[in-house]
Amino acid sequence: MQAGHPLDGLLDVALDAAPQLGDGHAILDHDLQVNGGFLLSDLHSDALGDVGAGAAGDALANRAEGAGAAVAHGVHAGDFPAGLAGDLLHHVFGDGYLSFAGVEPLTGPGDGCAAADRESSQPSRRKFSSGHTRARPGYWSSVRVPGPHSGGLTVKAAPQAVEPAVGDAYLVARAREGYLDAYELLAERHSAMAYRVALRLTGNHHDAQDVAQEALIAAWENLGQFRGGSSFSTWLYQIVTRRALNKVTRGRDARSLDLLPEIADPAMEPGDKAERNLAVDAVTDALLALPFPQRTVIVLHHFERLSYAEIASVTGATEPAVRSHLFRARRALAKTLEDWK
Amino acid sequence: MNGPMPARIPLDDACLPCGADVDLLLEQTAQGRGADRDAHQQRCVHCQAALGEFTALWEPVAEMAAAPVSVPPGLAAAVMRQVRHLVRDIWYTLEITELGAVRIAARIVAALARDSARMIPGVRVALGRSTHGKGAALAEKATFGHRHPHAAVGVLGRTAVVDLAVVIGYGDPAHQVAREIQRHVTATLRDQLGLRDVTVNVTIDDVVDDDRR
Repeated sequence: MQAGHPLDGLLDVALDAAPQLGDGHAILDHDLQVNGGFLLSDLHSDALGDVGAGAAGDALANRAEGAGAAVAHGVHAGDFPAGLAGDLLHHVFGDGYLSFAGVEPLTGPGDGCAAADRESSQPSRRKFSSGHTRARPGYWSSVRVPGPHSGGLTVKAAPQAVEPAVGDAYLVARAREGYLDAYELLAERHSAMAYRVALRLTGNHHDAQDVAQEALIAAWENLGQFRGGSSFSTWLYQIVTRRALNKVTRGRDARSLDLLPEIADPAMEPGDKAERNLAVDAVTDALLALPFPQRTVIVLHHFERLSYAEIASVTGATEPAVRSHLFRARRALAKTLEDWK
Repeated sequence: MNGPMPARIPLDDACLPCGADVDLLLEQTAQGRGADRDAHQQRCVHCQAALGEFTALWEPVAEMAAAPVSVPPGLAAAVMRQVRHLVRDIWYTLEITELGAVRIAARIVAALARDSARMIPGVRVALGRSTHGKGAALAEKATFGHRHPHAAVGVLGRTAVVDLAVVIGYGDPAHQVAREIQRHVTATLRDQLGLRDVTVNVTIDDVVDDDRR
């Protein structure tokens, strides 16, 4: 590599930072490629304007050789074109790379950038392509597929519904990697629960909306601290109940009669509806009259159908303590309802 | 029979005259098992009376628990608006002229790429991101001295790099699906946004069997 090559500084930064970007081989591959891509893309118009792609490719490949196969994934030798440095990123990374396990690199006609020409012009770098399937167990190896490609599938007229093929754990993992889409799916999936619990704990529509929003935003902000010891929903229940407690103890009178919003039921007679509303009001009042810990266990167990163990996980109490709270709460609730009757 | 019918439901007492635990009877009722009576309860008037009364008392609670709650429309969307405010925006500069700069938020690029990927047959879930936060910081650090004078912090130039995490169906041809995603997303970003260089990284990180779900 030429001394003082503009790529030097970039690659130094990329290689120094790469180990901090992820704790897995595959993650490191990925981030190196992506971040390397950014670095190159950002620099090319300013610093590489007068540098030929061949020289830039040499520099990149040489550095990659020193850094091992992980970097070599992103600098697939055969993909360096004889174009301008301004196009380096596009050609180096082509239309991107594919990452999935146990698949050999794709080469040959239709895989982009004149493979035969590249073989003759850059023979010394072919060795990099052989390391593509070197994945650690449990990780995906990265396989570079240069573009453009010939399409064989018919594109649909509209996006498929994305709900859901995947579990919360998958979405949490992706959200932690910065995929906002993943968190959006989680928010859509759990916002109803957050609101429902908040409504029953605060007894107030506006407070419930605030609590649900705050909880979902707090969950996003603290996603890095979520270790996956429990399910995402259990963790979110925890956040919602804490936020609700804060809201209730902040001094506002939480009493409101909209715990059960009006549900259109044409078959119900006006008299029945009035009677039902009275019952709902009575339950609402009885719930809100309970101390917050008792209210919480009633809501989580009888409204949300959580088990004692799950409630213990949400509240941080022991299972016997949860059961004890439930006994007291049921008695108190029954007494209040008995008086109402 | 275990004696005369009780005059009242003993909610202040720990036990019924027959010795049955009131809390356990309440629990049985609240869990919807008031009619599932054991041998003692089938003979004991105290237990029968208590279970009947508790069932009636708990009925509005059970009804309320079973009733659907109307969630305010747009709740998740409102959350995501807030979340996006928290995430530092990265911008691609499409054009800088004397009239000013034309930029597009990277998240828009990611969203368009995601929607475009979802149109490919075989794609069950597609998640998009256009930059990694750490990557952007790294880019800023590395390019501090080279940034275009009109470029704000975080501007990454006209080259879009999009990561797509994709879940495909079991049996779908992964290579073909992934290549088609790259081709289609690249074309979409070029055609619709005018981004010159587009890199689309596709990670197929799960395969689902629709029949088993």
